[in-house]
Amino acid sequence: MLHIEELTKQYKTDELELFALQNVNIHVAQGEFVAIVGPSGSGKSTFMNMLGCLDRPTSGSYVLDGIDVTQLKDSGLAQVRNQKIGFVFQSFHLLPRATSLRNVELPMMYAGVGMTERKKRAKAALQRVGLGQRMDHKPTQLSGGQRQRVAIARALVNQPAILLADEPTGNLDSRSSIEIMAIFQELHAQGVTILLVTHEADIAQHAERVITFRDGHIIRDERVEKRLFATASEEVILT
Amino acid sequence: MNLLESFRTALEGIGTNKLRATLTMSGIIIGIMSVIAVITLGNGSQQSYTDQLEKLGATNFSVYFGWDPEQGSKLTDLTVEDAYALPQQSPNIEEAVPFASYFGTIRGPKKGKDASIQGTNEDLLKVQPNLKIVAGRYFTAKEVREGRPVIVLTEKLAAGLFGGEDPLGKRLTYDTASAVVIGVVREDKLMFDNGRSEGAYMPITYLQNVTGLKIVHTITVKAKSKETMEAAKKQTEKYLNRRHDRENYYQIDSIENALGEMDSFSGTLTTIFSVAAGIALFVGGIGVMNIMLVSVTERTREIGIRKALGARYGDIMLQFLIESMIVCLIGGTIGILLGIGTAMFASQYVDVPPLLSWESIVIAFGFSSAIGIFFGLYPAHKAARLNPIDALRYE
Ligand SMILES: Nc1ncnc2c1ncn2[C@@H]1O[C@H](COP(=O)(O)OP(=O)(O)O)[C@@H](O)[C@H]1O
Ligand SMILES: [Mg+2]
Repeated sequence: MLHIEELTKQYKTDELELFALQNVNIHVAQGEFVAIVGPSGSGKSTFMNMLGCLDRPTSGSYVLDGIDVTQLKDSGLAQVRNQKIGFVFQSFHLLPRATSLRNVELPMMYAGVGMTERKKRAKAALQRVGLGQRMDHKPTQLSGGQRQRVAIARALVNQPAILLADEPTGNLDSRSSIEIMAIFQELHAQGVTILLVTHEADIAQHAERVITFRDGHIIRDERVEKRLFATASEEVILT
Repeated sequence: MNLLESFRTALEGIGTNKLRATLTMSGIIIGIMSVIAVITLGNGSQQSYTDQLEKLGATNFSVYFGWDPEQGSKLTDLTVEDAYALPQQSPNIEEAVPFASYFGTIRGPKKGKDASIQGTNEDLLKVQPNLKIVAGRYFTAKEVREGRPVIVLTEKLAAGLFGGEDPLGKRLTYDTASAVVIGVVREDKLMFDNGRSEGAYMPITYLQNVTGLKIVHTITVKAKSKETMEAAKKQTEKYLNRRHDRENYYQIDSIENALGEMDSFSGTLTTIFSVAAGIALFVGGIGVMNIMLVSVTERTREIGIRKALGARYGDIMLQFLIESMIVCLIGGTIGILLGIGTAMFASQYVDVPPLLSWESIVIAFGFSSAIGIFFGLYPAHKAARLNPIDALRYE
């Protein structure tokens, strides 16, 4: 599903050269639920941005769902982001003036899905994250947890090969965090491949596998012994 | 992403800052307003020019006695007979009417007036379509042949001499001669005034009799059609030179030449306005570009989000291009409306009827979108080539 070899990212500024990632190797199989942990500045976000094709590595290879994305031009990367990747950000990144429904429609707009089909699928995705009653709300009219659920619905709507989440609970209170983790676990149970960055140990324990970063290197890659299972509040009913 | 979606997205973008969008439009509004006003007035003046031409006889030309650069004015030797002979000389000539002018004071029963009297023949109304009999009648061929003392007044002169009274049958005197009023003509208002508007017409034979004039001052010739006009001119000149044993003696001028001056005057006006409109549009375009650049910067994060979700270069480019085009088109629409208003207002002062054409509206819309696209290109490109992660991180 996801093969990364010798991935390196070097940032060059006027004063210093810095390796945010250095010779990282990872293989993730279809249907895995991986948590990425590590101290601040260890390169987790940099790594996720490479995986999400939001940025290009300095060197190394990255094959996603059979596609060697390092060979792709910008338009090819855009297509991979659109079709293969669902990205959930810490700060939600919803369009502030668009309703939930419209936000979820966005990836399908760029995929060229017709309007009726798009509406249908966006509604289904919102229902899937328990927001069937909040379709016409704008982000400002939603709580943090609800915003993140809109973002998850948006990330899933084009049925991506992989769901990437960079500190999705970082801006949420603990109750909302648990709800979001319940959704991720449910999605995982349905077969979605998930990579999730967090610096909270208990959040990481919801995954099956934990990879630890330090100074741009992977220092640990292990199975989770005692998995935690989140239960959704009655509001969040996954279908 | 399809075009409809791009439009919707663009409209949403404009909607977020309506006041700024409106301010941005002002340059475009002024520019398009000028363009529309110029075209509308230009069309109007073109139309009234053509109307004038029709009124004065578009296929007419006049023969004058020539002007010699060394000797000055040449003496006219044209005669009434020349006028009668001309139509027989060329199949391209329909009518030829002689004119002899006389200036003096005409006296009525109560008042006198300075006026110009044109001695002419029975065919005058055929070569001067702007004249209409409104009372009585025009003089006949027989009256011209016999040199009868009859006179036809223009409405203006009749009013000056008689006030509201009926002038028909009244006797007028001028110098030692006198004539009976048999008709009144209305002269259509002309932008190009031929100086005869406060005048009168009488049989040229009678005028020559009482003034001792043997010659005529001009002959107005009506060609059969526009196409044959040049040929008719040539044949007239050739014939008159031969008949009078002259060389290059006569000056021939068409009404169109006489009106030429007015046309070039309105041409200058058009140029001045067009330059002003061009400057306004350019400044407006720069304004649009500036605001689009601001908008791109402000919406960097939005662009990042769209790119993260799979928007390609072309999608973002199209979104911002359409946005800048719509701003310009709205500005253009307002400009068109104001331009029509300006033209209607200005037409009261420059005495040109406004004439709105579909072409001008199409041109205005074309211009607006072209400006929107042209000045939107750079900002749109700037937005579209943003690196997704840099755009997302932008604070
Ligand atoms: N755009 C950038 N330019 C320069 N250095 C950067 C940039 N982004 C991140 N870094 C540096 O790379 C390192 C890893 O950052 P990051 O991946 O954000 O860490 P984490 O998400 O684990 O906290 C940090 O030292 C950070 O300062
Ligand atoms: Mg980070």
